[in-house]
Amino acid sequence: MSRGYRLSGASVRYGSHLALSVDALDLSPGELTVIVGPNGAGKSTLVALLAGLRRYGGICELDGRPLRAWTRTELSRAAAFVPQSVDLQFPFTAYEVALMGRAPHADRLFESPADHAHVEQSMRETGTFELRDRDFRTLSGGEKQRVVLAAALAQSAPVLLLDEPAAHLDPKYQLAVYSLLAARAKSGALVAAVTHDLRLSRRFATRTIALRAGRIDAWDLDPSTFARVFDVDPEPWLGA
Amino acid sequence: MARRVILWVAASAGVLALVLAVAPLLGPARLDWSRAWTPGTEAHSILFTIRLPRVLLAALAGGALATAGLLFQTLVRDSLADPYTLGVSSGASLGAVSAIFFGVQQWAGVTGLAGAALVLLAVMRVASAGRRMSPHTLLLAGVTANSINIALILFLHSLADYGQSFTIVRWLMGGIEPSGYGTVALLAGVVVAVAAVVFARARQWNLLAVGEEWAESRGVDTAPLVRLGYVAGSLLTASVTCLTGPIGFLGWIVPHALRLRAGADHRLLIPCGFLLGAAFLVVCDTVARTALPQAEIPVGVITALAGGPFFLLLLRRPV
Repeated sequence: MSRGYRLSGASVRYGSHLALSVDALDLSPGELTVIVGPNGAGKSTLVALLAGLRRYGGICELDGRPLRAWTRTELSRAAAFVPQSVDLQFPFTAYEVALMGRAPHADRLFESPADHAHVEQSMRETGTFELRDRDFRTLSGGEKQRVVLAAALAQSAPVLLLDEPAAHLDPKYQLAVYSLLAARAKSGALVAAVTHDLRLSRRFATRTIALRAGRIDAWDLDPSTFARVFDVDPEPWLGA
Repeated sequence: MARRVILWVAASAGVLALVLAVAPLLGPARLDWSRAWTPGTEAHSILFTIRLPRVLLAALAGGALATAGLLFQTLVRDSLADPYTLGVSSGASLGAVSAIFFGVQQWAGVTGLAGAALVLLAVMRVASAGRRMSPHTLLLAGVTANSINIALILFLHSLADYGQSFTIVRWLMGGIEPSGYGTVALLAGVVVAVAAVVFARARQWNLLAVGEEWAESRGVDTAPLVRLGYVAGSLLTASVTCLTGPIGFLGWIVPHALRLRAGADHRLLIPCGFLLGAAFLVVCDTVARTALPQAEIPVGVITALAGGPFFLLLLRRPV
């Protein structure tokens, strides 16, 4: 069980550009936090930072321990990360891609029967088990996204970090993915997802973080915040 | 999954065993088979001191080049990469050509290794200047190193006298030269050890083949892994190139063709690539030394002529 994240004065720079600067942020187990904001606001950088994929200044702790003190293996057992997109150059099957989620747990050349059981279950949860023998590169954008989600679920980590997990999904699977994430959070997982699906995510999120220009601008998304953060009239999104 | 890998590896090993058994029996000289197994006869010495070490050298060189090609393709995530893309082999060529030019041809192996090492260090230094060793920078630095080395080779060649010039061209064509068991054993030691180190990380290469962040968020420390891959691939390429000169085509065609048929799992690709690369070069070298009655064809000509059309066929057939 995870005790969650604590960030204090945490920042990420790309060269001289300050991409993210978080004064204070706590994320706890049991929450489904959605991270919203305009393009370039630092959303992806924030989840990548939480996944241990960015060098940072300041304090960023998971379970009371600075992220930079974790080894990659330890961290990958604690937190699973779903990137925005995965482009393959080589002919891995969908099953092989999902199986890579077990890498943090497998210490032999081949995965154990238990590993395969985990993968089968994750693929069934995301409706991808029927695609298992397909070359990953021949899948549609939405199918790829679900296979990558299956890989993250198979990681069995108490923290799930996702970068636009439903961007390419049809309505049925958008709903399925958000229900799944909400269920995971309800059973004690810490879930944080970047998203542009403002309507749907509002229904499932227990918490909202609105980023603007690399900083946390608001903790909700009511019409006045929306207008300020996105610089657009919120009516088409938030109206009835 | 494990079953499939074992079947593929067993089949590949069978192919190599067959090739290794037949190749030494073929050659321009007709052997008196009744006496070939008796030490001291001419037939025995042709079979065991000329043909067998050459066949073994070809097998090791083919296995090493295929493994290096596979590794470089994974590192830069581009199935068009080969053992020569990253500049190491042209560095070895420059070293060897320099030795020929300065009249110390007996040191060509040593200067070849030195040339390869210099290129390796330079390219890695350039590519790791940023936050992480980027495949793109690695590729650019390697291609640039290649151009510089080739320019220097051409420069030396233009200054060389007639005899040197012939030796240089012959060397650059590549070929499996007859050699003793000592050389074969030395190469075997290096190649088998490096290939074993590479195979031990097969699952990590799979993760890296998807992407660096993908691998990192699944427990792989990518910076040391990429460095290890580059050094291992360079060591395989350089140790072979110093003995045989550059042999083209095999290093990218074998892993590429294998991927088309067998998928992308490195637990299968590394052993099968090694075994089939070895078998392929032994076959090509056997053709090279037997096809024409009086002359030997450079083996690089055969690898491309035999492998090219075969690969085009593979590409045409639906997977």
